[in-house]
Amino acid sequence: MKITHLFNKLLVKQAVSKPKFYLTRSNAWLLWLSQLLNIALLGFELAYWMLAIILLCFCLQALRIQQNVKPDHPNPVNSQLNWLALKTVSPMVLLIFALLGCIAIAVTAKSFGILISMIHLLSFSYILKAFELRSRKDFYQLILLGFFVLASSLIFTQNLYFSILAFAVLMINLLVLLQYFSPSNRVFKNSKLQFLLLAQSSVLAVLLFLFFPRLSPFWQVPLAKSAQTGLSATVQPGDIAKLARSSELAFRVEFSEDTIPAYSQLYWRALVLDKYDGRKWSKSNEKNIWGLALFQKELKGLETLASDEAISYRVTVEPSFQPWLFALPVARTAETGIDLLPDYTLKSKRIVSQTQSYSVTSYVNQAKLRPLTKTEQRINLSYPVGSNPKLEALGAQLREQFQSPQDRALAVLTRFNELNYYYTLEPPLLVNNSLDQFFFDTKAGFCSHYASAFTFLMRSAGVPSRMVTGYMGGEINRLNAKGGSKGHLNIYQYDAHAWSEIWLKGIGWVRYDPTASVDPSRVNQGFSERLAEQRDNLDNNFFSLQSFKHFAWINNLRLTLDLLDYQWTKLVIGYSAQKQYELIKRWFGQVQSWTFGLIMVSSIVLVLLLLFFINIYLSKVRIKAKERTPWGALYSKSLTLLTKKGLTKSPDETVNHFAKQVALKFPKISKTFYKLSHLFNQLNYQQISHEQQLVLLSKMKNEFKSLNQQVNKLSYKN
Amino acid sequence: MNIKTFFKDRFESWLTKRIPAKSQHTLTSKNIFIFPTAFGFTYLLFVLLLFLLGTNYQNNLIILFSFFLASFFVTVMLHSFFNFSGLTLHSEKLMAGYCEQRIDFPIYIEAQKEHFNIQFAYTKPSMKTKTAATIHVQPGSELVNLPVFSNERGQFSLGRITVSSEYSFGLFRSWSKLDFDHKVLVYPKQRVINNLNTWLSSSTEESKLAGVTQSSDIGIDEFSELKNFIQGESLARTAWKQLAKGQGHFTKHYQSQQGEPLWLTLDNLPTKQLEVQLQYLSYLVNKLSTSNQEFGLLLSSPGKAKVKIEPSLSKAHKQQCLTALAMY
Repeated sequence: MKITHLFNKLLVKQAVSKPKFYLTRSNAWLLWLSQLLNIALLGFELAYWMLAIILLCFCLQALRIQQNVKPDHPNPVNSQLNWLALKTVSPMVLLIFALLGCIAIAVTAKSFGILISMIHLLSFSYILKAFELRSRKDFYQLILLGFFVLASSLIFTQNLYFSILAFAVLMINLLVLLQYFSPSNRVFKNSKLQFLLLAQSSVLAVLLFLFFPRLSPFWQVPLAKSAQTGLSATVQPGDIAKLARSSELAFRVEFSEDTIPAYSQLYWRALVLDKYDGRKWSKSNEKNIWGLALFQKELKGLETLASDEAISYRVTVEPSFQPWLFALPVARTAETGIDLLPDYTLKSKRIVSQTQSYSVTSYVNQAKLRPLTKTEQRINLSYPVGSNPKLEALGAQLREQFQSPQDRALAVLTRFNELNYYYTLEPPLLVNNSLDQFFFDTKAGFCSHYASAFTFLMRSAGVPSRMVTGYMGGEINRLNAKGGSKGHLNIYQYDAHAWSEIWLKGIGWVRYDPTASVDPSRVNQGFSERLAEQRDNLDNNFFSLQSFKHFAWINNLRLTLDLLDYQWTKLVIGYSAQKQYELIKRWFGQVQSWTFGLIMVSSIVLVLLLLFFINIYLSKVRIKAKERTPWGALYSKSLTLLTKKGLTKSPDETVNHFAKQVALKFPKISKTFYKLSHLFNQLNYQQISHEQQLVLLSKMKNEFKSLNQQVNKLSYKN
Repeated sequence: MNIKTFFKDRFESWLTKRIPAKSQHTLTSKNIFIFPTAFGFTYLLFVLLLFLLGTNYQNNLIILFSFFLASFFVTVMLHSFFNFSGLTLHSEKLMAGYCEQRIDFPIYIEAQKEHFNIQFAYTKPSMKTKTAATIHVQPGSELVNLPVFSNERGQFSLGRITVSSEYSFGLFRSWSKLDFDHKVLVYPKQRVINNLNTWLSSSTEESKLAGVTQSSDIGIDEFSELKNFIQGESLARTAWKQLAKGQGHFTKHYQSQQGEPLWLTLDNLPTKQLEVQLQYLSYLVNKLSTSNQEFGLLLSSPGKAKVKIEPSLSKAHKQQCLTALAMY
């Protein structure tokens, strides 16, 4: 009882303290909006409960702006404006709220990872800070925190459109400051100015970006533990069908010199899955299954091949938060951050948490000649006995029926082709992922169903085989295909695919894609119309230009946007220390240690001079424009009259001051000249309607006439 | 003599050469200083932090973001400068007023364009002149009154005026210390004498020797005669009764004006303290001037030069007397 009483007293006492910081109403809303946008850009990274708290805070904030306090001592500047002071919230309440929030963040920290927890903390404090705007210092802190929130959203998304959005939000953030210092200006006028200032800043920003030395990371930073996208390390028969509903970009491939291979050759390998446990395919954990020495020898052998056997290209992968990379077989790469695995796949040393690109050379027609080791053979033949008894029986039958592994495989493919198998994105559910059920009963499935069943059959028929996942095909964008470039390929998530490889003596691992037997169009030109329609219906991306592919101009627009985004990814996001080195070498010749410093200093000086003269020029133009007005012309005419009498107005002398000088020297004309000067001032500087302008102008003309007469009389008397 | 004052003096003398006293100043690159504010420095620190964040994540966009903000800082410097430059300021040299009362120094501003967030403040701390005005200058001419308060009488030099602006983003403060050669003349505070008439009449008799001389009764409303109204005479002395009766427009004339003039001296005031005596005299000078009585001023006290102002009656005379009181 007593404690609550004390608590209430404390609250009331604190709440009464008068705020000392004022904003105009429009600026308070602008600040609110900028906060909302900053947080919105981070929205996808925040947990639902945090979003709920933040939303609540925004509602409270809006209420506070509505029920503002009129300041006791209105700001002396522009007192006609709608100033408001926000009611202060008791620091006790804030403290308790902040503590609760921090505890909640700390509790969930383990599941979020460090980075996301930090983002939560940052957003939370950013929102709470808005409740204690007591002085200009708090206001400044809030703005700076806003920059940080905005910048941290760029950790997660970096594509062109998001960047443009972030830039626009930055503009609104700065606009709040500008509005604070020129509250009488309309927001629209200030936003024009704000845009102009940012445009002026862009020159130096670009120069800094190009030439400021790229540094390597100073210390280890926590990486985002975002949801993994794309292929996963284990595959169940239905998995890839789910992935194929997404029209998100997976990666892009640019062919600079070599022609793009035929569509049916575009098998982008990502993972080799050689372990089957009766339900799902995964990578076997056993170590040293491969003869690494043999593999190295095989790679060396590739180097001796003629260059026309090889295709070179550059892959740019979107962040998938997984280590798998994509390449056509048989791939070689000299990039340092990438491991070449003996199953001919590429694996990044770190998970791909942001857009990353690498160059690859592939020897497409090269057979994989390396012999199988004992362990490899064992693994690629094993399957849990009894998991799919009907298929096992069929396998045994194939083994007896056909001598060569090729014939056994062909028999299965023929069966897929001739019996009523159906290729669909919506396969019927299987009990316990039973391949028997799929193969003999439902007969409807997506690539992974067919690849699973095929590989299983091959193993039971005594042919070493394995499952491979990756992407198949890709959409060609030839808009930038000129000069050296042949255009680039976009590979989307719906291009995800699964197929098999079987080992043939004397040939090595050979790709067998059972999908080709069921739905040949899938491997020759991509999704058939029926399948594409099915995908569009299932696509969870509501707004996607993909669905309008059949309208030529929309498709063209889509490809243009895609090209822009690709250039952005390549030039801006992918700008590296090495590219910088090459650029400087190309432009300035040798790269010395002082080159960077020299370029920096000279570009800063140049930009400063440039901006300075642009500003001077603009203000001169503005003044000139004023002189060209009818009143300006009249005034300068009267000045010439006086110059003839030996009285000249110096350029920095004010109109009023000069009128005084005239009065001192020629008292006879002082009255007329005063009137004329006053009219000029009114016309030149006051905001008046057009009719009023005309009235004042005719008055000024009359004054000028009488001035002319009086001046002439002066000369007569003198 | 410590280093701080040494540098301050050096700066002052340099400033005198750089911006000499004038009645009119135009703000140009010659007299404008520009320097980041505390917020400006914090902003730079944040930009550096963002650069570190971008470098650690090897995230080009965050690095670009930080470069943008850094470049924006430079642009704002120029923009702040252009907002501040081009103003022409003009001011009176000398203003007078009473002790402990607000004395306004008018500053006339002429501008070609809009100037935002222009602040004025006196640099001198002693005169309670720190009160600054912040205005938004519209194109054309404008007037700002800078208030000055003083607790001491006398003439003081006010020193330079700091004109400054933090527009457009609070990152920079553009400023100039202008010298208008401002001097303020502070008259003693007026201290009211109760029962003025009785006091004056009583004092005259006692103080014949002391120099406050009055040939006849001072009695301010001691009426002597009516004269025809002359154009320009104060309406306060119109004989309203006669005017109302339709007898014509007359003005009342008082005996004292015709008699020998009144001399104000330091003696026979109800106190012996010099400051207070001067305050009484300040009041009397005002009172007598408003009631159109001729008076002279005679100040003498041991150890000070004698001041004598012959009796007269005009605005200039009043000012002369008050100045004498202020400077005594």
